[in-house]
Amino acid sequence: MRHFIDDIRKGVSPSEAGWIRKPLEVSGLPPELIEERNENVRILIKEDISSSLRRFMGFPDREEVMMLADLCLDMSRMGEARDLLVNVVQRFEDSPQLEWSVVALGWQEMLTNISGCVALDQVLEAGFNAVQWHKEAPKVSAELALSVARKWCNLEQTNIEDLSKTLSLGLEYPSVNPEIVERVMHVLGWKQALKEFTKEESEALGLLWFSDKLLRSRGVFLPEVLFSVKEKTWELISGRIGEEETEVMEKVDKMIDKLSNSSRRSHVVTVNWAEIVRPPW
Amino acid sequence: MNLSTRAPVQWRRPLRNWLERGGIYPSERPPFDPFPTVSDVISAHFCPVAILHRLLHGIELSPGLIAQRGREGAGELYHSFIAFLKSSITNGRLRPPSLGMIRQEFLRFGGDPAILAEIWRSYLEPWSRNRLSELAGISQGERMFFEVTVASEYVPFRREGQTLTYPLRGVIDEINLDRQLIIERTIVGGPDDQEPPESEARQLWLLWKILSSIRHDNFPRELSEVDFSNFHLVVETPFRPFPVDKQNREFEEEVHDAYTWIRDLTLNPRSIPAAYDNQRCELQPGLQCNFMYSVCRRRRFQYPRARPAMHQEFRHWYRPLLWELIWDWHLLQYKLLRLPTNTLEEEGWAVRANVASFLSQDMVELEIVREEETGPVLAHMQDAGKCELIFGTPFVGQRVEVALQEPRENRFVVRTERRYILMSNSTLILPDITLLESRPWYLTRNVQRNMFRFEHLGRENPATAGQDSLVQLIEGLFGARVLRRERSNGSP
Repeated sequence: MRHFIDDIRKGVSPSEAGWIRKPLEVSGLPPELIEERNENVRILIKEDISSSLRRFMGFPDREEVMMLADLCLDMSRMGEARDLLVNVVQRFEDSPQLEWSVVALGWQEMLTNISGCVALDQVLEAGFNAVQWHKEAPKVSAELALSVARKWCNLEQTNIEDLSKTLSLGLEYPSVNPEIVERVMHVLGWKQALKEFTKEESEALGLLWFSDKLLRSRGVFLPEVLFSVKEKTWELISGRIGEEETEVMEKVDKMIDKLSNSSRRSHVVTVNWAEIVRPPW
Repeated sequence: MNLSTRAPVQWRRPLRNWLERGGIYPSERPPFDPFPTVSDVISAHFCPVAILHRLLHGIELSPGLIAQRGREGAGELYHSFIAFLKSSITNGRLRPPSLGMIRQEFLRFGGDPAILAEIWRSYLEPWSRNRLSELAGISQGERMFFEVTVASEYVPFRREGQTLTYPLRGVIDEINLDRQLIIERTIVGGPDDQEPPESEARQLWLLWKILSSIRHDNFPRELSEVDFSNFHLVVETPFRPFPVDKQNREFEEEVHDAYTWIRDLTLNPRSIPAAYDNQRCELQPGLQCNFMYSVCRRRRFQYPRARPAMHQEFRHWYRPLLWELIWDWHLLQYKLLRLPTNTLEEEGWAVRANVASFLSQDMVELEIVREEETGPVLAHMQDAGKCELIFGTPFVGQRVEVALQEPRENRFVVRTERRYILMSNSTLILPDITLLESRPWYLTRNVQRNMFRFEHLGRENPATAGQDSLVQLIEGLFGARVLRRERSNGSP
């Protein structure tokens, strides 16, 4: 299992990870837990790996084995999601529409957090009650994300929804009353905010959140596994926009400062942009 | 192990005018840094992921190389009993103590007899056996104080020739004024150890640093003449005492990193992956840590299936909850140290009282200094049933939870949970549990902890998962399952 985990960490695809030359006996494991290929063997990574191992009592340190099993499963899922991410990004060159749809999906994910980042006074002034706001605001995230992507690409909501379905991201697109959309935008000062979003930084944030959503939609849960894709994602981002993480994040911070200043009312920040426009990790 | 070194940070403390009522509107990310405890600093130094769990997930345990799992509560009992035992010797109730007598007292101390017997055998028997002559030498009236909270806003630590100061708060297990000893007691350690457990030695040194940084006019009257710079530091395991050097240059340099982790994890979500990159057990394979399976690497069950959706909702709340705690509990710690007692009282954050008499080892009669405050204090105590007192000052004092027993005009009798000698006759009644306009900050920590617990609970087997109401509730709230109320006969 450690061999499998190490291989995935190094960037090996799940189908190629963890193989070792077949020894005479593999730690006394039962055959249903072993996979064989061309004189090589490895642990069989499957959804119920934990229960299978649990039934098998011959381990001296069960806690560690169970932990490794969870890690293997998450690593396998992460490895598959990482391969898919690379594949999708490689196709950006031929299809700007795909690129900005991906960015929009990322922004949609990032903006689901808006409801907890606005001062209550601001919400009440726009005619929402607190419950209504927390229920309605996250639903508008798809609309807001689309408006960001449309700054640089001619997209329709259906392009994004189709991509989300194709990739089985599990994002929802509830129908929202246009009047609610307008009011949420008003609360956030969205039209003004939109002017501040710059192209490279928007693309970087979108890709980061898309990567995060892709992993989570595949069931990756352990933080150390989630974060292990960070480096690869930044490598892809730098390949696209030609800027490194530090440079991009400095610009994002400046962007947030501008947004925060514009949403300040007599010393009180009405919209906490630092918690909305931020990378997932 | 090679944790990456992080640049030291200038600690941001609240401005003076923010501390008074109406001084600042608590909103979003606090513009000041938290007020860490010694356990926070030790945890952050031990492993950044450990302090992440303490800060964001409300975990109150400290990570460490604890001898045996499942004994996490044993330390608390061990400490309380030794405090009780020594107090009983100084007040003349128990002298001279014999091993049998100590055992009898312990078994009567309260708790599950099987657990008591186990703690006695593993920790208290060796401790008592090794200290019988020392216990016999304790004189009646000897000034020894237990569980003394010390706090300072400006504890100095040197690094590369410059000095930076940070706030810090912690609890000293025992101060013996007559023998000039400061003792940190632990159940960690074995009979053949030649060195004290590392984290306990560091903890004690940090506590002494706090004490040394407090100005004498902030000490309780009873301690105002004491010079702690001459005191000896001792870490006491069940098997033997270890002296601790007051010069600790290496750790003094490393403390700054711990504070930087605390600041970064409080403010910046980007520091979380960095913490995982520096997770101690990853850098030191084979390390045994009590956080390993109970906190960091909990089992992940197949059910509930809606766990990712639940996590999606929850993950945005951990940091705001921490900020809420900083606005409540941490800001209060700054207030207690910075504002004069009169202001604290006028603003309703504390009420002064004096000990009118000690009725027994755990019963104290208090008299409120400003008579007009007796009514509200009593009302709150009756309402909540208990409150927190500081015997001493917010800088040096025993923080004790008490329960109201009997109101008597401007006086009232309270029962303390701790049965040891109280260090001062002057006390402050603190609001963080009940009084005046306080907010129950501990509930925020409970919310953090329960959210984290919820994210990890589950079942592996589909049949048991189907019967588990919590799993089903999660599937209903975050997944596709439709929840229906069942009739009393079990049909939907």
